[in-house]
Amino acid sequence: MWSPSCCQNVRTSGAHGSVRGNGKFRMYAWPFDVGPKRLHPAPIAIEALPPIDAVLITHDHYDHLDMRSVQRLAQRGAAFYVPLGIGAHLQAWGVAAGLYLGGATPLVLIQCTGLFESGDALRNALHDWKLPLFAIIGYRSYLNQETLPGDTCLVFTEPILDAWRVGYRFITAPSQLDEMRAHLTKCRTAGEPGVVLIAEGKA
Amino acid sequence: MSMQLRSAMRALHSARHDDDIVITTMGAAREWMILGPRDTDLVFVPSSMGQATSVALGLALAQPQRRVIVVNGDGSMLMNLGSLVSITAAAPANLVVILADNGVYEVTGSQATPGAAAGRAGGAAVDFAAMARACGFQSVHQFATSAEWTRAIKGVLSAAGPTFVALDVVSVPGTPGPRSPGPAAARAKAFMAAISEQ
Repeated sequence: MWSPSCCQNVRTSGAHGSVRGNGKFRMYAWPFDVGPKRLHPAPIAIEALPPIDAVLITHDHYDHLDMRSVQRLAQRGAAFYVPLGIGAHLQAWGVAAGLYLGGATPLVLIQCTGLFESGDALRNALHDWKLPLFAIIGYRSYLNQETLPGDTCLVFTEPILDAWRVGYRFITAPSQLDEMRAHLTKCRTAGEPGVVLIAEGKA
Repeated sequence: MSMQLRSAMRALHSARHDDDIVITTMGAAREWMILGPRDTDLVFVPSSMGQATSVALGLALAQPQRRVIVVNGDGSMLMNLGSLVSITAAAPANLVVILADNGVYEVTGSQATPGAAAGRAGGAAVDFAAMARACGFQSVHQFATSAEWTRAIKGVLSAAGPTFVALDVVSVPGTPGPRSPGPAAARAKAFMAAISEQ
Protein backbone atom coordinates (compact mmCIF):
# COMPACT_ATOMS: atom_id res chain seq x y z
CA MET A 1 0.00 0.00 0.00
CA TRP A 2 1.34 3.43 -0.95
CA SER A 3 0.55 6.51 1.11
CA PRO A 4 1.92 9.48 -0.83
CA SER A 5 5.20 10.99 0.35
CA CYS A 6 5.87 8.90 3.35
CA CYS A 7 4.42 5.43 3.88
CA GLN A 8 4.51 2.00 2.46
CA ASN A 9 2.99 -1.13 3.90
CA VAL A 10 5.12 -4.13 2.97
CA ARG A 11 3.80 -7.64 3.29
CA THR A 12 5.90 -10.76 3.21
CA SER A 13 4.95 -14.40 3.47
CA GLY A 14 6.29 -14.83 7.01
CA ALA A 15 4.11 -15.50 9.99
CA HIS A 16 4.62 -11.92 11.07
CA GLY A 17 4.58 -10.51 7.60
CA SER A 18 3.91 -6.83 7.84
CA VAL A 19 6.39 -4.00 7.93
CA ARG A 20 5.16 -0.45 7.97
CA GLY A 21 7.16 2.29 6.32
CA ASN A 22 7.81 5.59 8.04
CA GLY A 23 4.55 7.31 8.60
CA LYS A 24 2.73 10.53 9.21
CA PHE A 25 -0.94 10.14 9.92
CA ARG A 26 -1.93 13.63 11.02
CA MET A 27 -3.67 16.14 8.80
CA TYR A 28 -0.94 18.75 8.89
CA ALA A 29 2.24 18.50 6.87
CA TRP A 30 4.42 19.90 9.62
CA PRO A 31 4.70 19.65 13.41
CA PHE A 32 1.89 22.01 14.40
CA ASP A 33 -1.88 21.87 14.14
CA VAL A 34 -2.03 25.00 12.03
CA GLY A 35 -0.51 25.80 8.66
CA PRO A 36 -0.19 23.62 5.57
CA LYS A 37 -2.56 20.68 5.46
CA ARG A 38 -1.97 17.50 3.54
CA LEU A 39 -3.96 17.28 0.31
CA HIS A 40 -6.05 14.30 1.37
CA PRO A 41 -6.55 12.29 4.57
CA ALA A 42 -4.22 9.42 5.43
CA PRO A 43 -5.49 6.38 3.53
CA ILE A 44 -5.79 4.32 6.69
CA ALA A 45 -5.94 5.06 10.41
CA ILE A 46 -3.17 3.71 12.63
CA GLU A 47 -5.70 1.75 14.62
CA ALA A 48 -6.96 0.08 11.41
CA LEU A 49 -3.55 -1.13 10.31
CA PRO A 50 -2.84 -4.86 10.25
CA PRO A 51 -0.38 -6.30 12.84
CA ILE A 52 2.90 -4.38 12.74
CA ASP A 53 6.24 -6.05 13.40
CA ALA A 54 8.50 -3.11 12.78
CA VAL A 55 8.33 0.63 12.28
CA LEU A 56 11.06 2.07 10.10
CA ILE A 57 11.79 5.76 10.45
CA THR A 58 14.12 6.84 7.69
CA HIS A 59 15.03 10.31 8.89
CA ASP A 60 13.88 13.04 11.22
CA HIS A 61 12.28 15.50 8.83
CA TYR A 62 8.93 16.49 10.24
CA ASP A 63 7.01 15.22 7.22
CA HIS A 64 8.32 11.74 8.01
CA LEU A 65 8.92 11.64 11.76
CA ASP A 66 5.73 12.76 13.45
CA MET A 67 5.93 12.21 17.19
CA ARG A 68 2.20 11.84 17.73
CA SER A 69 2.04 9.20 15.02
CA VAL A 70 5.08 7.52 16.59
CA GLN A 71 3.35 7.47 19.97
CA ARG A 72 0.26 5.82 18.52
CA LEU A 73 2.39 3.33 16.61
CA ALA A 74 4.32 2.56 19.80
CA GLN A 75 1.06 1.52 21.40
CA ARG A 76 0.82 -1.22 18.76
CA GLY A 77 3.85 -2.91 20.29
CA ALA A 78 6.03 -2.83 17.18
CA ALA A 79 9.81 -2.63 17.23
CA PHE A 80 11.19 0.71 16.08
CA TYR A 81 14.10 1.01 13.66
CA VAL A 82 15.50 4.51 13.41
CA PRO A 83 18.60 5.92 11.72
CA LEU A 84 21.56 7.87 12.98
CA GLY A 85 20.61 11.12 14.62
CA ILE A 86 17.20 10.20 15.92
CA GLY A 87 18.67 7.93 18.56
CA ALA A 88 20.51 10.87 20.06
CA HIS A 89 17.30 12.91 20.07
CA LEU A 90 15.73 10.24 22.24
CA GLN A 91 18.55 10.06 24.84
CA ALA A 92 18.89 6.62 23.44
CA TRP A 93 19.91 4.33 26.28
CA GLY A 94 17.67 5.77 28.98
CA VAL A 95 14.59 5.86 26.77
CA ALA A 96 15.39 2.37 25.47
CA ALA A 97 15.69 1.14 29.06
CA GLY A 98 12.29 2.58 29.89
CA LEU A 99 10.74 1.10 26.76
CA TYR A 100 12.17 -2.31 27.57
CA LEU A 101 11.03 -2.17 31.21
CA GLY A 102 7.59 -1.22 29.90
CA GLY A 103 7.41 -4.31 27.71
CA ALA A 104 8.44 -2.88 24.31
CA THR A 105 11.34 -4.03 22.13
CA PRO A 106 13.60 -1.06 21.43
CA LEU A 107 16.55 -0.92 19.09
CA VAL A 108 19.17 1.79 19.58
CA LEU A 109 20.75 3.30 16.47
CA ILE A 110 23.62 5.69 17.06
CA GLN A 111 27.00 6.57 15.64
CA CYS A 112 30.20 5.75 17.48
CA THR A 113 30.34 9.38 18.58
CA GLY A 114 27.03 8.77 20.35
CA LEU A 115 28.57 5.67 21.89
CA PHE A 116 31.34 7.84 23.34
CA GLU A 117 28.66 10.00 25.00
CA SER A 118 26.76 6.96 26.27
CA GLY A 119 29.05 5.89 29.10
CA ASP A 120 27.13 5.97 32.36
CA ALA A 121 23.71 5.42 30.80
CA LEU A 122 25.02 2.36 28.96
CA ARG A 123 26.76 1.00 32.04
CA ASN A 124 23.67 1.46 34.15
CA ALA A 125 21.19 -0.07 31.69
CA LEU A 126 23.35 -2.99 30.56
CA HIS A 127 25.35 -3.85 33.66
CA ASP A 128 23.37 -2.62 36.69
CA TRP A 129 19.84 -3.32 35.49
CA LYS A 130 21.08 -6.01 33.07
CA LEU A 131 18.66 -5.07 30.32
CA PRO A 132 19.29 -6.89 27.02
CA LEU A 133 19.31 -3.78 24.85
CA PHE A 134 20.60 -4.07 21.31
CA ALA A 135 22.28 -1.33 19.31
CA ILE A 136 23.42 -0.77 15.76
CA ILE A 137 26.36 1.62 15.82
CA GLY A 138 27.83 3.41 12.84
CA TYR A 139 31.64 3.22 12.72
CA ARG A 140 32.56 6.63 11.36
CA SER A 141 35.33 6.93 8.77
CA TYR A 142 36.11 3.21 8.74
CA LEU A 143 35.78 2.84 4.97
CA ASN A 144 36.83 6.33 3.96
CA GLN A 145 38.78 9.01 5.79
CA GLU A 146 38.58 11.58 3.02
CA THR A 147 36.41 13.94 5.09
CA LEU A 148 38.17 13.42 8.40
CA PRO A 149 41.77 12.26 7.87
CA GLY A 150 43.09 10.66 11.04
CA ASP A 151 39.60 10.43 12.57
CA THR A 152 40.16 9.23 16.14
CA CYS A 153 36.86 7.33 16.02
CA LEU A 154 39.04 4.61 14.49
CA VAL A 155 41.19 4.60 17.62
CA PHE A 156 38.52 4.47 20.28
CA THR A 157 35.37 2.76 19.01
CA GLU A 158 36.33 -0.88 19.48
CA PRO A 159 38.25 -0.38 22.74
CA ILE A 160 35.21 1.42 24.16
CA LEU A 161 32.94 -1.49 23.26
CA ASP A 162 35.45 -3.88 24.81
CA ALA A 163 35.66 -1.73 27.94
CA TRP A 164 31.87 -1.82 28.37
CA ARG A 165 31.94 -5.59 27.74
CA VAL A 166 29.37 -5.56 24.98
CA GLY A 167 29.50 -8.42 22.49
CA TYR A 168 29.61 -7.00 18.98
CA ARG A 169 29.84 -8.07 15.36
CA PHE A 170 31.62 -5.95 12.82
CA ILE A 171 29.89 -5.48 9.47
CA THR A 172 31.97 -3.99 6.68
CA ALA A 173 29.97 -5.08 3.60
CA PRO A 174 26.33 -5.71 2.66
CA SER A 175 27.20 -9.38 2.13
CA GLN A 176 27.52 -9.69 5.92
CA LEU A 177 23.97 -8.67 6.74
CA ASP A 178 23.08 -12.24 7.62
CA GLU A 179 25.69 -11.99 10.39
CA MET A 180 23.89 -8.94 11.74
CA ARG A 181 20.57 -10.78 11.76
CA ALA A 182 22.17 -13.82 13.39
CA HIS A 183 23.76 -11.73 16.14
CA LEU A 184 20.48 -9.95 16.88
CA THR A 185 18.65 -13.28 17.01
CA LYS A 186 21.30 -14.81 19.25
CA CYS A 187 21.22 -11.89 21.68
CA ARG A 188 17.43 -11.75 21.78
CA THR A 189 17.24 -15.52 22.38
CA ALA A 190 19.87 -15.42 25.12
CA GLY A 191 18.42 -12.27 26.67
CA GLU A 192 21.73 -10.48 26.53
CA PRO A 193 22.77 -7.08 25.16
CA GLY A 194 24.58 -6.77 21.88
CA VAL A 195 25.92 -4.43 19.26
CA VAL A 196 26.41 -4.51 15.54
CA LEU A 197 29.11 -2.18 14.34
CA ILE A 198 28.50 -0.91 10.81
CA ALA A 199 31.45 0.47 8.86
CA GLU A 200 30.72 3.90 7.40
CA GLY A 201 32.27 5.75 4.49
CA LYS A 202 32.70 9.51 4.43
CA ALA A 203 31.71 11.44 7.55
CA MET B 1 9.50 29.35 51.75
CA SER B 2 10.42 25.73 51.13
CA MET B 3 9.00 22.36 52.11
CA GLN B 4 10.53 19.27 53.63
CA LEU B 5 11.18 16.56 51.07
CA ARG B 6 9.56 14.00 53.38
CA SER B 7 6.27 15.89 53.54
CA ALA B 8 6.30 16.50 49.78
CA MET B 9 6.77 12.79 49.16
CA ARG B 10 4.15 11.87 51.75
CA ALA B 11 1.61 13.93 49.81
CA LEU B 12 2.54 12.08 46.63
CA HIS B 13 2.38 8.73 48.40
CA SER B 14 -1.19 9.50 49.47
CA ALA B 15 -2.35 10.88 46.12
CA ARG B 16 -0.85 8.34 43.70
CA HIS B 17 -3.10 5.71 42.19
CA ASP B 18 -2.39 2.04 42.81
CA ASP B 19 -1.55 1.38 39.17
CA ASP B 20 0.73 4.40 38.72
CA ILE B 21 4.40 3.82 38.07
CA VAL B 22 6.46 6.03 40.39
CA ILE B 23 10.16 6.42 39.63
CA THR B 24 12.31 7.97 42.33
CA THR B 25 15.97 8.89 42.40
CA MET B 26 18.49 10.24 44.89
CA GLY B 27 16.90 11.82 48.01
CA ALA B 28 13.41 11.14 46.72
CA ALA B 29 14.28 7.43 46.44
CA ARG B 30 15.45 7.40 50.04
CA GLU B 31 12.16 8.95 51.21
CA TRP B 32 10.06 6.72 48.96
CA MET B 33 11.65 3.60 50.42
CA ILE B 34 10.74 4.82 53.91
CA LEU B 35 7.14 5.57 52.88
CA GLY B 36 6.78 2.23 51.10
CA PRO B 37 6.94 1.71 47.35
CA ARG B 38 4.49 -0.50 45.46
CA ASP B 39 5.58 -3.33 43.16
CA THR B 40 4.92 -1.10 40.15
CA ASP B 41 7.42 1.51 41.34
CA LEU B 42 11.01 1.81 40.26
CA VAL B 43 13.43 2.96 42.93
CA PHE B 44 16.05 4.10 40.44
CA VAL B 45 19.11 3.34 42.53
CA PRO B 46 21.74 3.00 41.20
CA SER B 47 20.82 5.78 38.82
CA SER B 48 22.91 6.94 35.93
CA MET B 49 23.60 10.64 35.94
CA GLY B 50 20.19 12.08 35.28
CA GLN B 51 18.69 9.26 33.24
CA ALA B 52 15.52 8.92 35.33
CA THR B 53 13.54 11.31 33.12
CA SER B 54 14.63 9.43 29.98
CA VAL B 55 13.65 6.09 31.51
CA ALA B 56 10.32 7.62 32.52
CA LEU B 57 9.75 8.79 28.96
CA GLY B 58 10.36 5.29 27.62
CA LEU B 59 8.02 3.79 30.22
CA ALA B 60 5.31 6.35 29.51
CA LEU B 61 5.46 5.51 25.80
CA ALA B 62 5.49 1.76 26.42
CA GLN B 63 2.72 1.90 29.05
CA PRO B 64 0.34 4.57 27.74
CA GLN B 65 -2.53 3.25 29.85
CA ARG B 66 -0.68 4.01 33.09
CA ARG B 67 0.38 7.26 34.68
CA VAL B 68 4.14 7.46 35.04
CA ILE B 69 5.45 9.83 37.73
CA VAL B 70 9.16 10.50 38.02
CA VAL B 71 10.61 12.40 40.99
CA ASN B 72 13.94 13.89 40.07
CA GLY B 73 16.43 16.09 41.87
CA ASP B 74 17.64 19.40 40.47
CA GLY B 75 21.22 18.12 40.24
CA SER B 76 20.04 15.13 38.22
CA MET B 77 17.82 17.34 36.09
CA LEU B 78 20.75 19.57 35.21
CA MET B 79 22.65 16.54 33.92
CA ASN B 80 19.92 15.67 31.45
CA LEU B 81 18.11 18.88 30.56
CA GLY B 82 17.75 17.66 26.99
CA SER B 83 15.28 15.06 28.21
CA LEU B 84 12.76 17.87 28.81
CA VAL B 85 12.82 18.59 25.10
CA SER B 86 12.55 14.90 24.20
CA ILE B 87 9.59 14.52 26.56
CA THR B 88 7.65 17.35 24.98
CA ALA B 89 8.58 16.15 21.50
CA ALA B 90 6.96 12.81 22.27
CA ALA B 91 4.33 14.52 24.48
CA PRO B 92 3.07 11.53 26.45
CA ALA B 93 -0.07 12.73 28.24
CA ASN B 94 0.53 10.17 30.99
CA LEU B 95 3.92 11.48 32.17
CA VAL B 96 4.45 13.67 35.24
CA VAL B 97 7.91 15.04 36.04
CA ILE B 98 8.27 16.24 39.62
CA LEU B 99 11.42 18.18 40.38
CA ALA B 100 12.48 18.27 44.03
CA ASP B 101 14.63 21.38 43.88
CA ASN B 102 16.84 21.87 46.93
CA GLY B 103 19.63 23.71 45.12
CA VAL B 104 22.39 21.30 46.11
CA TYR B 105 24.00 17.98 45.29
CA GLU B 106 22.85 16.65 48.64
CA VAL B 107 24.17 13.09 48.50
CA THR B 108 27.71 14.21 47.68
CA GLY B 109 27.97 16.81 50.45
CA SER B 110 25.43 19.52 49.61
CA GLN B 111 27.53 21.48 47.18
CA ALA B 112 25.46 24.16 45.41
CA THR B 113 24.33 23.21 41.92
CA PRO B 114 25.11 25.61 39.07
CA GLY B 115 21.35 26.16 38.87
CA ALA B 116 21.04 27.48 42.42
CA ALA B 117 21.63 31.13 43.25
CA ALA B 118 24.46 30.11 45.59
CA GLY B 119 26.16 28.25 42.77
CA ARG B 120 26.17 31.10 40.28
CA ALA B 121 28.54 34.00 39.77
CA GLY B 122 25.56 36.30 39.68
CA GLY B 123 21.86 36.46 39.21
CA ALA B 124 18.96 34.45 40.44
CA ALA B 125 18.51 30.70 40.48
CA VAL B 126 17.57 28.95 37.28
CA ASP B 127 13.81 28.91 36.83
CA PHE B 128 13.06 25.27 36.06
CA ALA B 129 9.32 25.85 35.71
CA ALA B 130 9.92 28.54 33.11
CA MET B 131 12.32 26.20 31.36
CA ALA B 132 9.70 23.45 31.27
CA ARG B 133 7.14 25.89 29.96
CA ALA B 134 9.53 27.00 27.23
CA CYS B 135 10.13 23.38 26.29
CA GLY B 136 6.42 22.93 25.73
CA PHE B 137 5.13 21.09 28.80
CA GLN B 138 1.33 21.24 28.74
CA SER B 139 0.91 21.61 32.46
CA VAL B 140 3.49 23.40 34.60
CA HIS B 141 3.28 24.09 38.33
CA GLN B 142 5.49 25.35 41.11
CA PHE B 143 4.91 24.98 44.82
CA ALA B 144 6.83 26.53 47.70
CA THR B 145 5.00 25.01 50.65
CA SER B 146 3.83 21.57 51.57
CA ALA B 147 0.34 22.91 52.28
CA GLU B 148 -0.04 24.31 48.76
CA TRP B 149 1.34 21.15 47.18
CA THR B 150 -0.88 18.88 49.25
CA ARG B 151 -3.92 20.97 48.44
CA ALA B 152 -3.27 20.94 44.69
CA ILE B 153 -1.71 17.55 44.11
CA LYS B 154 -4.73 15.55 42.94
CA GLY B 155 -5.64 18.13 40.34
CA VAL B 156 -2.05 18.44 39.20
CA LEU B 157 -1.58 14.69 38.77
CA SER B 158 -4.86 14.21 36.95
CA ALA B 159 -4.32 16.98 34.38
CA ALA B 160 -3.39 15.98 30.83
CA GLY B 161 0.36 15.97 30.50
CA PRO B 162 3.14 15.98 30.01
CA THR B 163 3.18 17.70 33.37
CA PHE B 164 6.08 19.39 35.13
CA VAL B 165 6.01 20.24 38.82
CA ALA B 166 8.78 22.18 40.56
CA LEU B 167 8.83 21.80 44.34
CA ASP B 168 10.98 24.13 46.43
CA VAL B 169 12.54 21.74 48.90
CA VAL B 170 14.70 22.41 51.94
CA SER B 171 18.24 21.07 51.73
CA VAL B 172 19.37 19.08 54.73
CA PRO B 173 23.18 18.90 54.76
CA GLY B 174 24.49 15.62 56.06
CA THR B 175 21.44 13.63 55.06
CA PRO B 176 22.62 10.19 53.94
CA GLY B 177 22.07 9.19 50.35
CA PRO B 178 19.74 6.37 49.39
CA ARG B 179 20.86 2.78 49.85
CA SER B 180 19.87 0.43 47.07
CA PRO B 181 17.03 -1.86 48.15
CA GLY B 182 18.70 -4.76 46.36
CA PRO B 183 20.39 -5.90 43.17
CA ALA B 184 19.08 -3.79 40.29
CA ALA B 185 18.74 -6.67 37.83
CA ALA B 186 16.45 -8.66 40.14
CA ARG B 187 14.40 -5.55 40.80
CA ALA B 188 14.06 -4.89 37.06
CA LYS B 189 12.65 -8.39 36.56
CA ALA B 190 10.26 -8.00 39.48
CA PHE B 191 9.13 -4.62 38.18
CA MET B 192 8.45 -5.99 34.70
CA ALA B 193 6.53 -8.91 36.17
CA ALA B 194 4.47 -6.55 38.33
CA ILE B 195 3.42 -4.25 35.53
CA SER B 196 2.59 -7.14 33.22
CA GLU B 197 0.33 -8.67 35.86
CA GLN B 198 -1.69 -5.57 36.66
